[in-house]
Amino acid sequence: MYMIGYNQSNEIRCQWEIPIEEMVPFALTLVDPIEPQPVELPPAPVSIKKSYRVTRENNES
Amino acid sequence: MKAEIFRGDKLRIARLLKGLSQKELGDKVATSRQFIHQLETEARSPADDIIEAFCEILQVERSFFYQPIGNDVKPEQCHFRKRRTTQVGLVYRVLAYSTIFEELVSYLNDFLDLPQPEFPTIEHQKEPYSNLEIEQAADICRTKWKLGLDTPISNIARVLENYGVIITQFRGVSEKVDALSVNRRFPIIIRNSAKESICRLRFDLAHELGHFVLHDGVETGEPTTEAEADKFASAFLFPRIAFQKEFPSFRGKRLNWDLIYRLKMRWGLSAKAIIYRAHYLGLIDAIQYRSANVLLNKTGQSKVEKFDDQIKPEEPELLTNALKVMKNERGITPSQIAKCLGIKPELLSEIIGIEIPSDPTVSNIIPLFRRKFI
Repeated sequence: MYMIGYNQSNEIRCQWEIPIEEMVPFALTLVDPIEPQPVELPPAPVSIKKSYRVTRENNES
Repeated sequence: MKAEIFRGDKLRIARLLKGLSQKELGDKVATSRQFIHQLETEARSPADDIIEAFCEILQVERSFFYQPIGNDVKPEQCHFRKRRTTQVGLVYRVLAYSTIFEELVSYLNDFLDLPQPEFPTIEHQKEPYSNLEIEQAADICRTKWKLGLDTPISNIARVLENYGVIITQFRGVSEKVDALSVNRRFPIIIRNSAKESICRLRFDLAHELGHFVLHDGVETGEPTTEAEADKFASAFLFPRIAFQKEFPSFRGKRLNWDLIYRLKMRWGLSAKAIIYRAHYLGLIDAIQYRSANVLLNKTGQSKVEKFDDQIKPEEPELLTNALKVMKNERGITPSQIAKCLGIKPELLSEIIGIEIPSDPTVSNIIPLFRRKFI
């Protein structure tokens, strides 16, 4: 048996799992009529290291 | 002044990267296999003309042979799908590739803040993992990465890149393997971009993530570890909590393919993988599972399925963006990066699977067609 507790911001606050024999158990959750939307992430951040930025700014000034 | 030493291990790496045997390289530079062997073991040193020939054939700069290897990749650090049946030559080629690729990432990392690897730690005592442990590992990973347990992932490549994985493709290797990964300071996934199905590409990425999470320091490539990574991929892409909520009940009924294809479009998981997971979680019986697979095969959907073309392609972005930042913020072009690594731009392009525009050269030579207008 698998249980998840959410707070009001839909963050998971607790997860309990009680294995039943050797079967993979399911979660017991309320059926939400609205399907959650796919999670979208921005592109992975890439930036110049701070030490190089400082050098560049110093050279420019 | 101390004389420069020609490094045999670098010659070996450059040769393996090009997929050449010692004899093949020997033939190309009009010398013997034995001589190449002696150079690689540093029993002898090459003359200038042969070094120039090596540079041309192996697409490296002369300086390449005089720089030490940072830290070469070991076979046990690579996750191949079928370790026993993978050709030895291909394994060595991957190791050489990974060693040079890692030098590139290490070079970029000196200038750039790149996402750092953040894999969850899975407490695990005995081998192999139970099905339940694998489901939990996938849930833990999703929770740690704030992906929720009931939401589809729209772009799995982006998720992995955000958590420190560098995804690339290498034409010399990609088409011969499904996908493979190297777990080092910078975890790398080399994917097979020749696959037509986006769902399979997504599954391959999740499979390699499974190796990173479950098999750190474990030699993989055996049926058990591969099955574990497959189970992890299914659970990560379509967690059991969501599956139970969204998979329609077909107990004692015929499968409704419209609903299965709808799930496929929503979750980016192939119909075959959805059917497998439904059976694995006990939602359909063995007869329904077999019938579904027979139908997929009979309708020519064993490799490419219906609606595959309607799933958004995913391209790795991290490396491309890193090169852009280097050029725009530091004025360092890919060709200059290649030079620092001691390789030709063409080889860098081959290694990263990205076309590199050649640098404009400053010259006082005026082309003839422009001359007449002056």
